Amino acid sequence: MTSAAGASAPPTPTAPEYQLLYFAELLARRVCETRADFKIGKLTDLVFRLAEPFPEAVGIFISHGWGNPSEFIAWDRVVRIESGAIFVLPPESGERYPPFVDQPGWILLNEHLIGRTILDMDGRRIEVVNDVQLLQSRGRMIIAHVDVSFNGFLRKWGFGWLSRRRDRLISWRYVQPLSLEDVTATDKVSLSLTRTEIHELPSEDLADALEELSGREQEAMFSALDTEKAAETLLDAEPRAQRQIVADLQPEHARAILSEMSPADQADLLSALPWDDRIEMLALLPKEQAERTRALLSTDEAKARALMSNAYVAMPENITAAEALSRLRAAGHDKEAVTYVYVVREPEHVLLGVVDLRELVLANETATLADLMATPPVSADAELLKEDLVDLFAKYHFRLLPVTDSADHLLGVLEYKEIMR
Amino acid sequence: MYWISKLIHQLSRLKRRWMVLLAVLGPGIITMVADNDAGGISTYAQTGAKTGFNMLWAFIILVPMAYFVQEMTVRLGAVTKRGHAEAIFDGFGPVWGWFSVFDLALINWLTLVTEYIGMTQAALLFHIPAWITFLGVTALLMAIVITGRYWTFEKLTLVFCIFNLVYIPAAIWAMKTGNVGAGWNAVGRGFYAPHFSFTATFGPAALITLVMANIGTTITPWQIFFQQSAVVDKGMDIKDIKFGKIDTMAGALMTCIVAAFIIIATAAVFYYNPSGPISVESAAETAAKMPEVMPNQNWGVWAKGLFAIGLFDAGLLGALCISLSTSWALGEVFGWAHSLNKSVREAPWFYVAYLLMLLSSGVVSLVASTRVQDSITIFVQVVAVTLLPAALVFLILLLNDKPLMGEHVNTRAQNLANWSITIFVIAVSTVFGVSVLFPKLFGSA
Repeated sequence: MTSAAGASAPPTPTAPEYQLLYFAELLARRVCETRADFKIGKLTDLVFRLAEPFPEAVGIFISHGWGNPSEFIAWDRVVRIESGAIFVLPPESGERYPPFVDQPGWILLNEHLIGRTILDMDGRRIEVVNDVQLLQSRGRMIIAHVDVSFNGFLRKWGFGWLSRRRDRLISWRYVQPLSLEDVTATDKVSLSLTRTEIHELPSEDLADALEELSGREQEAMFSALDTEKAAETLLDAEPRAQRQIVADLQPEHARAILSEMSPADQADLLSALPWDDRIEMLALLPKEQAERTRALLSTDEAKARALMSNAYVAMPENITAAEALSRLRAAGHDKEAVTYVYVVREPEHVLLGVVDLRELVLANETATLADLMATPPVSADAELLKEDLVDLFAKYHFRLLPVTDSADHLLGVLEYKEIMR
Repeated sequence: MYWISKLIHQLSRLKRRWMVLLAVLGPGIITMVADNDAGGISTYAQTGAKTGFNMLWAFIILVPMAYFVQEMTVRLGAVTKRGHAEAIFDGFGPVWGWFSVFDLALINWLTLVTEYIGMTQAALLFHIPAWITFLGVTALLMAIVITGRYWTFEKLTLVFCIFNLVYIPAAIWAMKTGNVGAGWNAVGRGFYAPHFSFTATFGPAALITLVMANIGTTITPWQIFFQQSAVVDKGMDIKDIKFGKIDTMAGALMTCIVAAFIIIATAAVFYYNPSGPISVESAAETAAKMPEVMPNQNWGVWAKGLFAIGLFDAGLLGALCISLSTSWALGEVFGWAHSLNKSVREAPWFYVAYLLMLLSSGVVSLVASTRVQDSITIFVQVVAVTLLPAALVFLILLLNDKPLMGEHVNTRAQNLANWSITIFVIAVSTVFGVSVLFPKLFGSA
């Protein structure tokens, strides 16, 4: 019988170079103390320390059967893993192993990972972790892949022999928790994708993914988005998901997200909300903006004046192309609508013409805007109704249309995507 | 010339509002017309055959009754964006929530059986075997909802609603038989000067039962759940409420007009039959007897065809809306995706529940004996008695919840109308339920 003194002995040298194991197969395997006939319990979970690039096993949990508490065995006491049993060394001292002390960054496979949802970045779909593929080599064990296929599900229930199709393994490198706190927090959300990656997905895909998630996970994922992305994603989600997400939002977060939206977008979102939530959201907005949004909400016949935004660029006619471009660069980040430069006569702000960004870039540096501009410009009257605006956009196919009053004063711009949605 | 351009502007504005109204029309009409389901047609046919035109006045009361109740569901759905089951859960807790949903699922399933029976009987008149009807109808009902768009479902269903109008020509032909001496004047008198003549087989007790049956078939629990869910699924907003009310009113008028014409048709040929009144017990029987009571030319054969088509269509609409209302309610309480705007992939349980309801009730309708079918019909009415009062009271309480409804909370006038309707319906349906369970109680005078 091997003595307790052999605790720090190297793992059995006769073990193969490396071994691929499925967690589902390890689950419930006999755990024996050094000899095959000395069974002390069954494996119930594996504990890993999250580390780059791969998490490493730090211990196992075993159960002793009915009524007895499960016990944690540190990884350095685990000698080898065979198909019939897992062999461990007896406790260093006394009858029992030292009690389990949870440490930050540790996860329990069964508890925290199996059955959790992850966002598959390739398929852009929500998948369920059915199994985990482990790589064992020289006494160490790491998480190599997660299996999201039906096979993993079958293995979990002991029907692995039924599987016909190939596994769908996702490398752990692409499966990372949103944050460490999320996995080990009390609510045990382990939505798996990184903060950097989440911003690379188009908001339409994020919205689809959000719709598939359930409450907590939805909240976790949504809170990982920055406000601009959050606003876009929220607008792209279907009404039911919109209602759920808004219901879970903190007022401050909601205010930040709303301020990323135009009044037309706000009205779009709010019209999907129950009345009480709608009132709460409107209360978060600055008074003037709330009024505009409220006006849009209460009518089927929104006017151009209410739908327009002021994120346009206007310049006087006598400046040169070079000057115009540098002004554009200076203002660019505040102004969404830089496709066209509107040429106006100050101080009345009368719209004279419009310069396409392409014209401006290609133009001779000394040419003035008056030389470059197309005139007379196509514009929408501020009193036009939404249906008329749809006709106008359909007719001209411009991405932006300037809005003017009856005396040709430039008031704002309308965006194609907001009118034609 | 200014007035011309102004006129054109006004006209285009009018046209636009008209288009918006047309776009919003749907849930109200469908709910109301589907309410004339297979059981409803039978009730109206019996009413006509037993009382002639003398019950027509009831519809002057039934139109506002149906309108006021259903109009509340429009406001509740548009303001809260929640279905009725969800609203009850949120407002009154899980006990009442589960009670309502369980009751609804049960009563809907039983009613579905009667719809299938109606459809197979109607198809039998065209010599189509029952099992073919069952398979065909189930496939059709699945096809209507499976497109993944609420819009398609609504427009298809509105087409089926139009078929409900076949009873109008049937009534006109029935009047042409000349059985009724005073002609349409006699019909008119039915609205303001009813005159009942009781016989040994048809006493005051039977009359009261008939009145109750007519009310019971006009206001049903599933209608409340269905219209609210449809309003939510359609994405109607607060600003659409005014059109939703027009929609509901149009539906209430249409359903009652059709019901009145059914009564006129059956009354003219059965009650005012030259050789004495002929009794009928069901819609299928009514259709089958048409050739016999309308011997002139081919009217009778045509009337039979129209009645059969009408009955089939009524069963189809009823089955569609009833199983949908169950699916919506179950989806709301179990948190499944539940929208006709979702594909089968996206909302599997919603469609599975829908299909299972249809298949199970359809199979039961095929294998059940007449005895079982009769007891189902009775049981439906008894369960309705337990659910309808609760549903109405919940509805009114929700509509009076100021934090929930905001400015669309019930006005005093609406409350007055709705509480009177509710108390009246509770009283009537309770008496009716008891009388169905214990027929001897009221005696047969």
